[in-house]
Amino acid sequence: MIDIIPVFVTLVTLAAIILTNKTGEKPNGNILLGVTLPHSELTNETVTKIAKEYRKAYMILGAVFLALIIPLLFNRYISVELLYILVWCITLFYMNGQIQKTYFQKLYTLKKKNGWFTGKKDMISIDTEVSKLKGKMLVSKWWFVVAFALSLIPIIMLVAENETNPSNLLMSAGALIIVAICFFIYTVISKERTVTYSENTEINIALNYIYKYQRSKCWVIEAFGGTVLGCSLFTLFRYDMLHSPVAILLIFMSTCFIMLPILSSYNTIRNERQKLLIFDATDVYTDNDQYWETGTYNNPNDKQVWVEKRVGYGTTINMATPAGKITNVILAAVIVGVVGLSIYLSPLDFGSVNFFIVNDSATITAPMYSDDFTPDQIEHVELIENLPSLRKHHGGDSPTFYVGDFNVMGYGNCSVYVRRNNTPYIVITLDNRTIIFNGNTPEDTENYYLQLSELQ
Amino acid sequence: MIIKLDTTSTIPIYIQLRNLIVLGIGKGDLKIGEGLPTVRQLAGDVGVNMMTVTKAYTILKNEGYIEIDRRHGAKVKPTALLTGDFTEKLESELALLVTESSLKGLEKEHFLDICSKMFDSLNIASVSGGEKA
Repeated sequence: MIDIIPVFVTLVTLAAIILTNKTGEKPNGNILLGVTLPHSELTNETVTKIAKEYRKAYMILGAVFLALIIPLLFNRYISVELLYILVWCITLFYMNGQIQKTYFQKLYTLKKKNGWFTGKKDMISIDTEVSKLKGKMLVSKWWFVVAFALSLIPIIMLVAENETNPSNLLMSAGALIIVAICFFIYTVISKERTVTYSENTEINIALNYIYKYQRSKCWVIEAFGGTVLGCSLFTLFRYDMLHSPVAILLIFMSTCFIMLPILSSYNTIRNERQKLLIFDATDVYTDNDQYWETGTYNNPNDKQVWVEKRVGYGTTINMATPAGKITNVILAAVIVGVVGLSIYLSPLDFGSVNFFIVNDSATITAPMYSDDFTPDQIEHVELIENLPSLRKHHGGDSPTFYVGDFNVMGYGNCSVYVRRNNTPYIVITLDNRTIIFNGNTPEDTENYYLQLSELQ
Repeated sequence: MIIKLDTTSTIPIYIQLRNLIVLGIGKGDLKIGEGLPTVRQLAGDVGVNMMTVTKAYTILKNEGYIEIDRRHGAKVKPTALLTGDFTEKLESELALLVTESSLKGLEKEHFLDICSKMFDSLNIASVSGGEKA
């Protein structure tokens, strides 16, 4: 069966990139493709032509990267898959940045050429009335207490069962981690700077209220959605149903559900902004376009770390702040980490299982593992044609190998070193445990079986 | 009231804040008795350290333009107390302005006319709930 998860992850990433950046072709207030323009010029012929070219560039990008997902359908090596996804992601993000930069520059050059002045540079405008109401614009943070309490259910269940397996404990903490991330984003939103759109305080209050309320509500919903998803995934994992079609359908539906509040909140914000500002003649503009030229926000005169994205949804980091520099380090660490993980997992794709006897000691070497025992420990050796169904305790399972400690139906807890779909398999019952393994070829396995039979 | 700060100006942010708040009171944008944002709120929106806003508020309080209440925060409350310090400051700043205007060829009448118009444009007395400052 095709491993659907990598395909699904790449598809979701691609959809997110295309959908969020497609919003750039439509004005967000008086911002188009990340460039601040006077309202009257938003419908200018040359401007709309550049926006159309931008849209076309994203359609091509979408088609190319969709085609590049196809090889993942035919891949059966985890390490290769990881590296492929990494390179795919880096190229996608790089190309996305290039498109952003190119069309930003085109429009920015046009703006400079035509002298479309939209406001003073480096001005901070603050509406004191909005500042005073800032903390009252959010959905109550107490909702998170409920979400936190719900996310603790899987952990409490495991603690009650005296579970000690680290991977199970980590899985049970999934919901809690999601709620913590949502709460962190909520805190960032609460601290975000208010925006002065107009000389009219009522418009400023209304637009800031809509922005803060919608976004905070979105992350409260996400926290609850995340809790449900985390708890469901944990249950599926616990009862070994994570690979069933129901699980895949559940993950797919949850992802759609997670994206809905984000898209809905931003659409509301943008629509209301358009509606309220279109008839307002007293816009307050600060022209900070030059700090968006690199495709990211890089303003050393602004100490604010998180700012609203000009194109797409959400917030972005001011790269000129220490936090921005740390982001680059984290990004580099993630890339190195994925490459390292790929190298670490490569034996699970390209390794081999070997068996040899030296000085009355039998040794099995397998990817990432080795095992040994003495002949006098052997109680029974048998050759089986089919590998019974098994469940991993810890170790590795790839399309090529099962290695580590598994619970095998009919044999209980076993040490397994098996090349998959390579029948037969040898089951060695020792005085203290059971080992199941095979060789790289059926002949090797037969040969190892003969050697073991002689030892008995 | 809308405060516009220039982040590239040589005038420190706390002085800009102080001046804009005084001008805001004069224009009637900030009404007497009206609360100002808390230090934390304003510092968050300006994107500066809380100390910068505290400094501006402390100057405004010492100069008698606002009062700071532990429970209700900063409130606009100009006091009409003319201190010796203020007269001294006014004279020294006016001396420079008068000299500069005169050297640029500005007539005394014209100068006084500008001053008179500026005085007339003040909106402090007409502020609702306000008191004559």
